[in-house]
Amino acid sequence: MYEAYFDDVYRYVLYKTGSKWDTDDLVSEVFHKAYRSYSSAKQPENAKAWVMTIARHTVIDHYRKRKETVSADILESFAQDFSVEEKVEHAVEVDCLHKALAYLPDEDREVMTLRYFAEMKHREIGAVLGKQEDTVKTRVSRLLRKLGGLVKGCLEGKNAHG
Amino acid sequence: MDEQKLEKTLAAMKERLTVNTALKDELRTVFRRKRRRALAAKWSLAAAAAAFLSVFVLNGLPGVGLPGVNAAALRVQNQVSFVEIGSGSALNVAEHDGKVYVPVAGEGLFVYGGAGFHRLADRELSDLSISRDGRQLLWAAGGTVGTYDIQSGVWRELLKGDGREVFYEQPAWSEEGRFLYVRKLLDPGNREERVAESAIYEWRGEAEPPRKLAEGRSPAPVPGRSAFLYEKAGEQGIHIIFRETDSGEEREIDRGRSPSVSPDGRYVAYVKNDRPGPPAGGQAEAGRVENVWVADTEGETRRPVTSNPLRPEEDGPLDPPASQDERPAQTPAEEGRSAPEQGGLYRYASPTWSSDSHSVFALRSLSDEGAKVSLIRLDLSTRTLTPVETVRAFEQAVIQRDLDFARSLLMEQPDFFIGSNPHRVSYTILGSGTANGRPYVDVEEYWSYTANPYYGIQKVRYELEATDWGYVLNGGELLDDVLVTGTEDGRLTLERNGQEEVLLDPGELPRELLPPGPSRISSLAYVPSRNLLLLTLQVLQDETGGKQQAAVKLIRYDTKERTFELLEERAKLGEAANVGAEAILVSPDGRFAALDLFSDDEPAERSHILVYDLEEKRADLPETELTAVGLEAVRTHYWNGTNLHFTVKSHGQTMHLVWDAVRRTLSTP
Repeated sequence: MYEAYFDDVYRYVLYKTGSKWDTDDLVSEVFHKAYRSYSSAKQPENAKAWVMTIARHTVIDHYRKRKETVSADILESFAQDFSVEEKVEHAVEVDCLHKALAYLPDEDREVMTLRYFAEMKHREIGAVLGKQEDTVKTRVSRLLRKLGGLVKGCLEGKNAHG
Repeated sequence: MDEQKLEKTLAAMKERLTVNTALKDELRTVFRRKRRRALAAKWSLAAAAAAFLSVFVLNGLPGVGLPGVNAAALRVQNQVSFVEIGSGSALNVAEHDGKVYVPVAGEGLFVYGGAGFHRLADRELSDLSISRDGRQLLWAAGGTVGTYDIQSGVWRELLKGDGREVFYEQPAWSEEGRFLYVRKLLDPGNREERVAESAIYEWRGEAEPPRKLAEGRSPAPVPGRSAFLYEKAGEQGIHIIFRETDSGEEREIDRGRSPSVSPDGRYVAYVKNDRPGPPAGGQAEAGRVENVWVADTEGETRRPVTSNPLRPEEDGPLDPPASQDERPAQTPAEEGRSAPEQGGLYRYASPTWSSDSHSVFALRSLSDEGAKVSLIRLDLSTRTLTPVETVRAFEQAVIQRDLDFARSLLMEQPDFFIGSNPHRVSYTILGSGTANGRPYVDVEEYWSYTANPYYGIQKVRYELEATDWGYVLNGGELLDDVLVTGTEDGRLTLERNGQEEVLLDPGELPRELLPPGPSRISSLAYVPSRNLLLLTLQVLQDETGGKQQAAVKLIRYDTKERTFELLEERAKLGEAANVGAEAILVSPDGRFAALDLFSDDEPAERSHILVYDLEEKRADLPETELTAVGLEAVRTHYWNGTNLHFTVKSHGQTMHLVWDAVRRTLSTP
């Protein structure tokens, strides 16, 4: 389980907190908790949904303690490792996508984060959020359309100004 | 942007969320090494935390107020962090008869009490002192000193600074109609606003001219005597001085700052740097290891009453406390003198005695810039805690995640991890005794998992060791281990010491309790002695075209008779629909259940508590008794007997309160 899900948990937490330092602490906490529960509780039927639920609650608790926004270093990291041309293009798109995601209501953004950064299936997201699989599927599809419109608007705005 | 390209960009974004592979390798090694049972987990603390251990001893404080007791004999009975205020913004503390007044930068003056807290005035103040009858506040703001009548709300300015060169500050009542204060003169020619003079004066009414008493700052009058304590700068740093007002006779109490004298006149609380020789320049603050200390006003004995572990970056041991030099931040360290770069984890400020002389309030913050400030209370007594009281203090510290205090109650501080889920929600002291010549205390500890059907009960025997500073926990044994968990399809399973039993099969919930649309068991609590299993059934919002809105049902399940009873159903919170339950906490005796509720139709962080009395079949919302306005969140914390500890968030602050479920009244912890 550790090997299978570490990267997804890490990316999910990193996107949510925007801080590498906090992410290291929180991910450690997530797997400590998972270890403890795993050794005392029954093996979960959906292990990924189970460990992501732990990750989600750990991040929620973290936010309750101190609210934070995505920090600049994370935004910068989105634009790494491209050629100069690609970098400019991708940086703009990623920037717009980031803004579009930030524009979504919390739960919608959560659905997209779990789907695309934690690589979760619709059924698994449903288990984490307490929704039906079909509901999640419908929502992801709707959100993709919505995000597409938002990113398009953002890119046009940038082009108009720049 | 089309969906295909969007998904590609999302994938690119994901790839740029770089995984820390070093951490992954490191944790993998840790987990491979770990082979331990649940109890060991409780005795283990995150490796990082192990770095900041300091043996703070529950030595307590005293029964302040008992004749013939010196400060060194005082024991700390309890340490409570009961308000968390915004970052770096709490400026001072005053208390009278359980009401605590704190000026908060940019927010105004707040008052905290058993009914919660509220903003008393919008005015931004820096210093506070409350009169003995609790009616008048002396304040300072922007170089002006005045009074505020709490009942009438009338403000008066008594000493008005010019805001440029002359500043009046740090007023402190000495007796009715009189107070001490500091007059500060700045050198206007100096860009850095160097203080040209700082002197303590006595205000004796508008008819009499002020009387200059001493050069210094932070005056703290000694009640019932014509004397006061104050900070005096010396070659070796800042000293706390006791001074007879009339004769001018002085004696040094200790090095330190911010003295506060107990209303009975016996003790002085102050902040002291336990680490000698702070480094020069910008490193000075970082190198400090401050604690709140208490000394006799006669200066005979003294002792620290807080702990301050080193910040986690540092592994070195604490320097010897107590009699070491303290140097003010402004004083350059001696050349060549080495000093550590990292200091204590916390900063302490504004120690202030309660009006009954039994407690000291103080502001505590993490040393990191921008960290939130907590208002803490230290209850002092001359009595040493019994084994049961020691275990109770440990349980509460763990539940409240006050790791420093919890560690101070352990003989050793092993790997000790407290996570957010599953987490302890209550405990019961079952009994105590002596085995093999050592005292022990048996405890039942209850565990829950936020928004998940999970409830654990562990019976633990803690062994204690008598030390010079009181009892400490020195080992434990898991006597019984019960865990109830639920699956997605609604099966509830009881596991006891490795044996499994199905408590509830899928489909066993009566049809009349189920909604037409989707639902799931979202949380539970179990009281074996009553065959009681309390469930929250989360009615889910049907987003596929149905009309079902989210709601919560509280259901009682008799595990022996296998019967069900609907106790409470909440489809709305006020006007807000789509209600969800995040947690259920049951009192150890099984009489009360506390539910954390929220509505999707309210702002994301808004939450409420509902307390249900299973005997009276009555639901209470403790928040209706609060004076706080603009509530942002009300959340359960834990049960202590039939007292529900919970938190209230408002104005960006979080306060810890207690709901007595039997009397249905509020109080501070």
